[in-house]
Amino acid sequence: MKELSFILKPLNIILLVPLCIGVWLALNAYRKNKQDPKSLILILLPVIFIMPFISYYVIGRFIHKFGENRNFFYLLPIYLLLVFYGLKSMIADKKAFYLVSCIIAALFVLSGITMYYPQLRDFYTARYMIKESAEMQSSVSVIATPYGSMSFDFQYYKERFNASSKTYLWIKSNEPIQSIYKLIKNEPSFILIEDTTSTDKSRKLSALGFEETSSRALSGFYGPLSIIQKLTQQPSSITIKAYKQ
Amino acid sequence: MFEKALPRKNLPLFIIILLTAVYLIPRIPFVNKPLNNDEIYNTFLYLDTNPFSTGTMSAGLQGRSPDQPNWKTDYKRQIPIHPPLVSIFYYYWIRIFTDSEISLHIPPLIAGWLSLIIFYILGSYLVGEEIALAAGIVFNFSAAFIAYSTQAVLAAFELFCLLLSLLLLYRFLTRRNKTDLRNLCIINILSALTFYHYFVFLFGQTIIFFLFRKKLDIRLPYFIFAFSLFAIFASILTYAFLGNHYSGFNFWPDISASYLLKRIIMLPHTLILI
Repeated sequence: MKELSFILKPLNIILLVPLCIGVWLALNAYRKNKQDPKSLILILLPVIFIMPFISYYVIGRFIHKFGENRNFFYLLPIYLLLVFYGLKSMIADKKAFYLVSCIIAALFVLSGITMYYPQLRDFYTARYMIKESAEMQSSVSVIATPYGSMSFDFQYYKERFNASSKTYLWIKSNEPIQSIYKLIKNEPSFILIEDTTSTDKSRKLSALGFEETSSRALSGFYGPLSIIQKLTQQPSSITIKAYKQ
Repeated sequence: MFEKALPRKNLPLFIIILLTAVYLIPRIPFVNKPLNNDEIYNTFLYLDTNPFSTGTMSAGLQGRSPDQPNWKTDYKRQIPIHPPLVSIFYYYWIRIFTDSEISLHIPPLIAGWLSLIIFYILGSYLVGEEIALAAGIVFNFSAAFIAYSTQAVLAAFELFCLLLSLLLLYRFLTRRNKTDLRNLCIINILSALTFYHYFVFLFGQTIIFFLFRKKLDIRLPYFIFAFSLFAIFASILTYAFLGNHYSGFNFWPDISASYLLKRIIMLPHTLILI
């Protein structure tokens, strides 16, 4: 599936051609009839499309978040309208035009599946794991999450799934969930963990031999799996049942 | 000038059914998808009793450390502060329908569906029904649109506001009656209260209105309103710059031409899940 994305990405570059034609047609329509509302809106489309990029250059100096992907999302319909406006001028035949449109739509679906299916699968798995671990009988649960983001992701679902006072150890990694499972089974030398229940986790984990790292944006601790067992004092209660999918 | 009347078209039932079907098919499986990081962050904001409070979160979210998200720390975390309309809406929505995944995903799902219908109507007016239908179907299957129309973030609402504004602007330019202008002003206010990127569209609209102010009979209050919005935005930027609120850890990419080009190229596919 990964190989497929290499084929699909050039599609977006190819679409720049009808986009440029669409923009040119819109400019031309405005030049021919400056009084027509239709041509006024058509000329407004490229303006709306270009403005965020200009403002990104200017405002982005002050607000870095301005360059976030989502801030360009609302341009998508304008982008596609201009692309298909250009595409229609290239393909006169109605059936051929619809056929090309269907092919592009199918490629968009494929690109979506190849690029985002693994992330969505991990999201579902992570939620399932937290729910399962909350229902387990043990007093300690080790949870691995592929979120690779902030602790309130975990906290949010924990608050909803768990009413008990058990200890949770949140193991955070950017690795796929199956890889984490293998890592833990083989007792790796170092894994990243965070004690989500401790009020003074820094002192508590440092006392147990964990090394705090400042190289990451989010606080984390490196340590061997054996220290997790020491931390909990109940090695037998550490269970990774939740990894079973 | 602007003599051409807006063609009176009824949206064919077949088209509505077709667009609704293709809209729902790829989205229904994701309505119950787990919340991602951004959605959870936004939900914390939605649940806050007072958008401008300094820290105390609602009862269900107590126990978190003081640096947890709120509208004040938003500045320091480099998350853009959007106007509070969607947060206010969600604040009451969650209290009625809870903060379950399905509940949180329903409003953007509806906003996305309405956006698709408006996109088709607007496209059919501007570039013809064939192009509008083809573009609408391709738009519908874009990964970015599928994801954002099932995410409890602002993106789907932004889309709806922008497309509705464009449609209302077209109607006003074509028919030039007071009702259309009033509707456009209402959606302008609501959109400006929804997301700050709206100033981009408002800027273009204001230029059109200024150029044709006499023919369109645009009065001074409109320009005062638009100028006020631009001034507020400029003030926030200046404050942010002078107050050095954005000088912390920067995890966003460097500003470069290649980055911007990449954004255009990947527009149908880019989204944030994490």
